[in-house]
Amino acid sequence: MATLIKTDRLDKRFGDTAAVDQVSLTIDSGSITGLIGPNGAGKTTLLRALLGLNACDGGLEVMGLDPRTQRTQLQEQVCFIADTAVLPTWMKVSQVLDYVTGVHPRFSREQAEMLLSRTEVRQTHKVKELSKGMTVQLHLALVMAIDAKLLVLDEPTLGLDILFRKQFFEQLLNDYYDDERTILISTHQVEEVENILTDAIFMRGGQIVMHESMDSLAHRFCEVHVVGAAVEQAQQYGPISARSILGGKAMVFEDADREALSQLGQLHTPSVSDLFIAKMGEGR
Amino acid sequence: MEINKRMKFHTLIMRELQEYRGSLVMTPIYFGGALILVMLIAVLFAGRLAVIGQGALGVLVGEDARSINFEITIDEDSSGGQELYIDRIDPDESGLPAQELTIIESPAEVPEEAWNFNQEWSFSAPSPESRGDADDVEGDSLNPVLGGFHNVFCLIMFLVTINYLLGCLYTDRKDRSILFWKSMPVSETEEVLAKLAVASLVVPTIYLGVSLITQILETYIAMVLVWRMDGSATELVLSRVQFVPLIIDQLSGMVVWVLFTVPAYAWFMLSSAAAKRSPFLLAVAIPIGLVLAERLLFGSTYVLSTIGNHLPHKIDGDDASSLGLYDFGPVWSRLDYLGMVLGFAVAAMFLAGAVWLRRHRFET
Repeated sequence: MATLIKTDRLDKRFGDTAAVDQVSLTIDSGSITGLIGPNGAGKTTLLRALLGLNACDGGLEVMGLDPRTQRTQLQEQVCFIADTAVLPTWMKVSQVLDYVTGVHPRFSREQAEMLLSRTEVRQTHKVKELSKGMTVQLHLALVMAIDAKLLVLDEPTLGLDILFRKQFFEQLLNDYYDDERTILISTHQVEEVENILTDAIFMRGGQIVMHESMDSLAHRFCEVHVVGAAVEQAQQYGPISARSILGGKAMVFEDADREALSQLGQLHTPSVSDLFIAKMGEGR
Repeated sequence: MEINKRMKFHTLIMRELQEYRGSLVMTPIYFGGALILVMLIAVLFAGRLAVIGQGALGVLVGEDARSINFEITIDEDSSGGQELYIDRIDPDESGLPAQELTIIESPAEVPEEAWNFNQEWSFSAPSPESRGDADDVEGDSLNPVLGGFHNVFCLIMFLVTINYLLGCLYTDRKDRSILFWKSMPVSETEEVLAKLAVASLVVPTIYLGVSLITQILETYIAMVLVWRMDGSATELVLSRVQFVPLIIDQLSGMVVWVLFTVPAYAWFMLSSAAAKRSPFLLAVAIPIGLVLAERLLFGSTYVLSTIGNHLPHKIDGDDASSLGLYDFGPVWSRLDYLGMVLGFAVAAMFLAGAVWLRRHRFET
């Protein structure tokens, strides 16, 4: 696995506020990485810095290029959906296809038309006539028809209903993703991406709180449901979070003694959402 | 698929023409179509509504007041009242019915041919002699009339181009679709240059083309009109339009237009890229501020005349300014070539600024 993205103390400030605060990060090819954080955590700023849309300080390399000076070359290899509803509303769908065909060397119009034929979107439609869900389907069809190494999605399903969201991620996984491709998704809705991720990054206040592969997550973190007197005992092992469940508590532990904990109750692998809540609550 | 530079540039230009299809492509076509329609209506009704038709013809063939000989007579009758009427004069009559008619215009000044009246309320068709030599461009040529049509095309073009330039680096920032454009492998420099090419090359070509086609069609319809009114189409119209000088004049006028407006156009693009709220206010306020400041501080008007030099205006008499709405074509010897070259340098600075802003300050 090759390193696709590498940042070294990447920094971006707006006035006195650090939107991205000394972030050092590596992302390998072939991964689906979720960039997860609450609103205002700096996810969008970080992604835009990676795409060369924001000026920033520090070391930055994406696919061997510096996005700050080589954005155009980079854009041939990288696709992104920066937001829902950024497709130009005055355009017809056929004109959007013409445009991308004319400027993008890795775009396959046939592929895009095939993907669109499965949707309600017609080439004669204007973008402004499409519903929000259809606009996202169009945008997704465009980026999926581009043979890019890296796909960056910034809150791609914001404002969509649950059916569209589910369909979106299924399509991404089934029709697009393979070992050659890397996907970086930012979201604050953890539960909808946790099943497709290979890696998770938690971000808060411009800093990376955690960056783990899903495999190592299962090894490093465990959740124990303890009842009665065992609660006191479990507290001694220093849970990073505890929430009340029926008759006791569910505690999440990081790098804890699994042998000892298994004596107190049944061990689970915590869901990414539970872990997210646990890590975000840390230090508060 | 391989994308070469030419194909990419073509795609970028087409994108602009699609977005501004109404003002950049359809407006001249509609306007030209409307002019032609008016002429066709004139032809259709030429027979029936002779008065209107002749009025239109008079305008179209560029008759001036001198050559229209209305005969207004004053009859002093026995009752002592004055009566004003217009009489028909038979061309075969050698003399005038002196008792009834007093010709206000001195008959001595009217050449023999001009007495060729066959209708009431008519103008007389000037003879070939009175029109002078058809090659005499300054004389009775119809080229300035057609040039008038062309100037209206140019004015419309100027307005839609300003509107286009002020919007071209602004509206996509406002509706955030710039995030889509930036997700494509197109550099900011390519974008800005494509937009300038639309304003400075594509739009002038469209407007000049439609204008010339309209003028040529108008000429032919005017011939039909004259023919339906029993005039000599060749004499009255065709021999008075010099097509080759017409095309050369208007083409060269457009070239001068393009060369001299570049800094103004670049300024509009810079304003479009820089504006947070209103590109128009920004584009207008700064030059006005500079002009006023110069006048107040130094009492001079260099800024104003420099700006004026790069905006189209009507050139009168000996005005040596270079860029204008011409009756004929530009006078090459009067062009301010130094101003033109300096204009290019300033335009390059403005464009570089627009590219920089587009790259680094695109969020509104």
